[in-house]
This record gives sequence, structure tokens and C-alpha cells, in this order.
Amino acid sequence: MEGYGLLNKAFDSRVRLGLMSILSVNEWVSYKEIKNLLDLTDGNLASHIHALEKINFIEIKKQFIGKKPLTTYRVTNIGKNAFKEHLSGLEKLINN
Amino acid sequence: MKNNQPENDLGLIKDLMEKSTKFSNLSGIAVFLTGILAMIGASFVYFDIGFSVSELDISYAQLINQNGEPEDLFLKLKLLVLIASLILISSIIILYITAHKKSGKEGIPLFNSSFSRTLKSLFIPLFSGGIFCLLLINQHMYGLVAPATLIFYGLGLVSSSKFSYNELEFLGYFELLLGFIASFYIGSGLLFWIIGFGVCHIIFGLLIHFKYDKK
Repeated sequence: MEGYGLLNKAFDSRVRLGLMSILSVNEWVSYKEIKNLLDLTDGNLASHIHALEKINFIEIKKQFIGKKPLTTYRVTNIGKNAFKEHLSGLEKLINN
Repeated sequence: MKNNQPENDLGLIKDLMEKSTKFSNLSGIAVFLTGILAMIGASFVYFDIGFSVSELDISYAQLINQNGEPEDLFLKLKLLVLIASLILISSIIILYITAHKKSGKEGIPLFNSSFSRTLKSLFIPLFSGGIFCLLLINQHMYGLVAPATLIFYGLGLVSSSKFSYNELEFLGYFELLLGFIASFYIGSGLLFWIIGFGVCHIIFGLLIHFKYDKK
């Protein structure tokens, strides 16, 4: 099963996989938007975001819109490539 | 959580990619309201309520067949265009305000790429249709205006459905069909207009409301 070699351990969790799916087709997505799309609670999402940030798969931008703080996320090139590889791994596994 | 099902994973990825790039801030209740507005506006035109333009009442069919004094016909036409524009503008305002509110609630920014793509794909056919209708009026082909608005609106819906709710596609096909049928029954254009812009929006608005808004 050659597909397994391409799979990335970072995407074992469905939350992280979902997070990468959203970020890979959008530029700068807000925390609230991700939370709603994935249907998650605060604590749960934060830890997964932190994990992906630690391995440089996503980057964080904190800014203020008026008085409200807004945190948005974007996938990095490293993250993009890793996700692409993971996808092709999944596809190979299905085709085998 | 460990997951060994590549099919499920790919399904999840595809779902989220689609969901996160589609415009979903449309409010069902707002669409419902635009349907009601269209019904009210069309009955104003139909019954000429409060706008009696002359001693001789001019019906929609008379206008279409240009059966009457030119000045009276012109007044009736002006009324028709005025009401149609009022419906369009107030509908856009209602839809905008509710979309803005919904986006705040769900944390999805209103002005993202899916919103601008939806607008663009809707308004290019809609604006072309609007200009075409003005040209029809200019050529005194009043009877084709109502069918033309339905047809161009249908085209706009079909093309914008790719970036928003899938159900918009079916609504679009239905509006197209109505427009084509209406082209056969020129005198009854107003009736088809009421079905297409009134009844259809009321039903579609309720559908969106109960399927997506009221979770």
C-alpha cells in the first residue's frame, strides 16, 4: 500500500483535516468562521490550531476591526504541500 | 482520534471545501418578504389601486395591446416601471440588511470571494436583462417585458447557484420555464410575473428558512 507513505500524521485528526480543507481553498479565515464550519467548541479548536501552527502549517494574523479583535488564519506553503501530499496519499489508497 | 477510512476523509475534505467557499448568508425570511412585496406591487399594477391614471381605467392587457390614448398608456407604463423599480430596490435593501446580520451572527464575513462571485454571476445577466427590457419598452413591445425579466432572472439564478445554495439552480430553471411560457401568452405576463417573483420567492424563502436557517 504505497499510499500510506504519503499520509501525514498531522492530519490524523478529523478536526485538523477539516481545518486544512477550509484554509486550503480560502485566504485568511476567521476563528469564528472555522468554528462554525467545523461545528466545534472553543477549547477543542484552539488546541488543534496551536498544533498546526507549531509545525508551521498555518500562520496567524491578529488585528483590530474598530474595537473588536479579529484573528484570522492562513495556510503556509509548507502546509499546502503537506496537505497536497496527504490528499494524493488518500486517493492512492482508494484506487488500490 | 485515529481514522483509517480514506473515503470518509476525502468526503469530509470535499464537503468543507464546498461549504466554506459558498455564499450562505441569504436569509430565507428576507426572500419570503421579497415575494410578498412582488405580490403587493403586482396587484397595485393589476388593480391600479390608488393610482387611477385617468377616468378610463387602463388594464395591463390594454397596455400590452396599446389599446387606449397614448398619454394614458404612457402614464400606466410609468407607473409600471416605477413600481417594478421600487420592488427591486427595496428587495435588494432587505436582502442586504439581513445578509449583513446573518454574517455577523455566524462569523462569516459578508464581503468574501464567494459573495462577490455570487453577485457578479447574478447581476451580469440581470443588468443585461434590465437594459434589454428598457430597449423593448423603447420599441413599444411592452408585452415581452414581463417574460424577459423572468428569463434573465432565471439565467442569473442558474449561474449564481454554483457559488451559493444549490437550490437556486432549480428556482432558476423554473423562472426560465415560466418566462418562455409567458412569451406565448403575452396578455397574461403580469400573472406569470406574480407566480415567478411572488409565489416562487415565498415558497423558496420558506424552504431556505426551514432547511438552513432554522437549525
